[in-house]
Amino acid sequence: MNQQPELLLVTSSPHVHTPLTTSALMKDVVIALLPALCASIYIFGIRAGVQVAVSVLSCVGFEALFCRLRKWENTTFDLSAVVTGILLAFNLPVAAPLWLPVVGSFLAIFIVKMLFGGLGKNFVNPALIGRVFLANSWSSDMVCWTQPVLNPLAWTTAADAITGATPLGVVKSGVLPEAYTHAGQLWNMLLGVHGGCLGETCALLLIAGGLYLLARGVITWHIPTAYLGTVAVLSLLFPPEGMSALLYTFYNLTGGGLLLGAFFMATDYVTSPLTPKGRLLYGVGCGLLTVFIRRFGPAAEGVSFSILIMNLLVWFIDRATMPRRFGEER
Amino acid sequence: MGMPFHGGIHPKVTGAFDIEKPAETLPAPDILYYPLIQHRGAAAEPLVKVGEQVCLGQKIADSPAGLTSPVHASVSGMVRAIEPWDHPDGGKCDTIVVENDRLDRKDPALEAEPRDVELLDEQQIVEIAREAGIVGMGGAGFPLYAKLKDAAGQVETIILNGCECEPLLQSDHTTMIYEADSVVQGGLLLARAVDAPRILIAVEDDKPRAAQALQQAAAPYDNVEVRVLPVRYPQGGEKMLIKALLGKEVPPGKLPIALGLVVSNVESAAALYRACRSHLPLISRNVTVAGSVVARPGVLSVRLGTPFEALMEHCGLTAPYAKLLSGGPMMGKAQHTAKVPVIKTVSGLVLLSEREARSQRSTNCIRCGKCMQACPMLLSPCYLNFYSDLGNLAELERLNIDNCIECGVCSYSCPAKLPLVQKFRLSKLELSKQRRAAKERKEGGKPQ
Repeated sequence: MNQQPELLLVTSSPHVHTPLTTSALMKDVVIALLPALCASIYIFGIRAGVQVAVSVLSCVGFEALFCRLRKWENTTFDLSAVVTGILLAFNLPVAAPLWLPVVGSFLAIFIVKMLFGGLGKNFVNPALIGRVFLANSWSSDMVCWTQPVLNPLAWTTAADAITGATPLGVVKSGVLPEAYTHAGQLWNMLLGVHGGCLGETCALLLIAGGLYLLARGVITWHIPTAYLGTVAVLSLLFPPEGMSALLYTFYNLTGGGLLLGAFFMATDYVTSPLTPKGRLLYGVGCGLLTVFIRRFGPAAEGVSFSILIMNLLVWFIDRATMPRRFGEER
Repeated sequence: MGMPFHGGIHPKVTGAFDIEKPAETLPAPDILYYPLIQHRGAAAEPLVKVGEQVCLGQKIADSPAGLTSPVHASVSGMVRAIEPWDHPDGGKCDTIVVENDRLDRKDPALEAEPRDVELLDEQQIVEIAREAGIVGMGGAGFPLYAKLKDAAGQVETIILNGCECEPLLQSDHTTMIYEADSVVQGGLLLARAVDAPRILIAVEDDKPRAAQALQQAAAPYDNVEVRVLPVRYPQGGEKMLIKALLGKEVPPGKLPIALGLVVSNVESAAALYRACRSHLPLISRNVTVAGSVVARPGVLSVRLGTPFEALMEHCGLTAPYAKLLSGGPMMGKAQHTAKVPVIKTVSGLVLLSEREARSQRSTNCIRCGKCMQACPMLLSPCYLNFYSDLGNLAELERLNIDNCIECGVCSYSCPAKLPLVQKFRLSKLELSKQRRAAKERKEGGKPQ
């Protein structure tokens, strides 16, 4: 038996703590993203995996570098940079040049996250800022869509690119081709066998990852439900002329980055509201903006901008939806 | 049936044990310490002098103040000193030190024939509650008589709180299993004292034996009902318990009496019955000794005034401890010495090993909202933390920091290991300082 210490520890209560840690939460998010990552490697080839690796490594590297420069303790062990890295890569076309995620990571981590004080202090989603910056600066590289190759060993490059092939782009044109009404194409949408950013296509596995996060209590149901629900209702009620409302809704939900956004980006702790009511409001706001941008904006996709705009409103939403005082009616 | 309260947690702790026998009586030590404050309200004043002989059960301190509680000797012997001594609530407090002569000479009042409690009237019960020094033994220490005085006719329900405030503690549990009759009788006395038509006894569903024993003891009485609630911390908190039982919320700054309710701890109720029946003042109580380093954890029947070290010696240790708590792991107060005595509000001792006591490094708030999901008072600890760091007292006030009951579920739930409730305590202190200063300025500004 060791020696009984002479001095006792005196601290203010409580004296026990949950085993849950920040890094455990982040690890759960990484686990939830892994199935979709595997799917994207299968669908778009090994280059998808390399994009993700480059992005993750540069995110972690930039955070470590920043900590070093500022003489902070290295914060990369909380795994939040890994999550940002995966999400940033998920938002790139597979054939994008490999320096693109490096530039995006610099902006996401160095500028948006670390310069504002590190994890928890950024007021917009770093991965989304990275994506929007890249999309506006190197727009041709960022719309360099390729067809699925269904070969994990393939090395897809810009030479394989075909343009205008994302389902949302087709929907945007206003007329659905015959093929888009067939069951086979609908299945491809769910399985992710269609053009798009490398991590956003496999609807089924993204939903599975989202359900995993819900089951683990990492996220709550409010934001994904409100976001997807708003998009679904608006699409059902206001399809473009001459298009089936059901098909329009289906493509709006499964195409583009909506599922990735609703389950993984809009639910980012740091940049989403805390109150249940606030989360519902925020989800509805994201949904409205997404539908408006997709329908009336110049681009086919609007998830990134919707979430970024709603990020800016988070403090106001929280303030307006604070819970009532215990013992008083609202 | 009421609505469950918001949030709450199931804290993970090591060192849980089963209750197999009634509380074991701990032999009285040689020296006992009676702090003059063992309750909410004014300090009692000594009625004895150094060198004087005292009897077991003799009142040795009292006060004429409106809210106070007398202190009784739990052994017979000689007053050795009246001096400042370490107090389990922190700091030092004037304390009557009595040397035990091991004769247990009883105060003459204790030798009287047992009373027929049925014959006691309202005022007599309140008077006995006061004179016996009975206070809330769950930890709050609010004098029982003060809850009953002038409450006659206003009370609709007496609630007996058997929800054991904290994980690991089993003092109330033992009382409920082995003294269920005293608990029920105490409840009936409380009801009679304020003319209340109904008595609810609340037990959590992890204590089926207690529920069974109480149900048996309550069977002959139509107005006594035992309610079993799903276990959740902090259900032992008065406000949470009322919400869980009746779906009602006590308004901010008000006491349960505002809703026609009086809440009492089960052990306090049993103590009231003993005082009414056997003239026995509050001189002993059940104390849990628990923790992963305790060799023989259990519930002891301890004479008030016994130093913690006597309890620890009795239960034995398997490894060194780094933290000694008076109370449970969620709200217990860490002690700097084991020489502090057991007082009326000490329901348990919890010992934590060095590994368990090690504080974890905190990281930035990631706004995960776990604290908001857990807070039973509907507060937003995440924002309270933010404004506490900024020292923005106005915002803290707007976010109802005054409502915080300091149950600690926010700090427990925080994955970033932020000392949330600890910061709020400091902020509340700052806020009350500011208010006092503002009040003084206002009063000072008036022309005399």
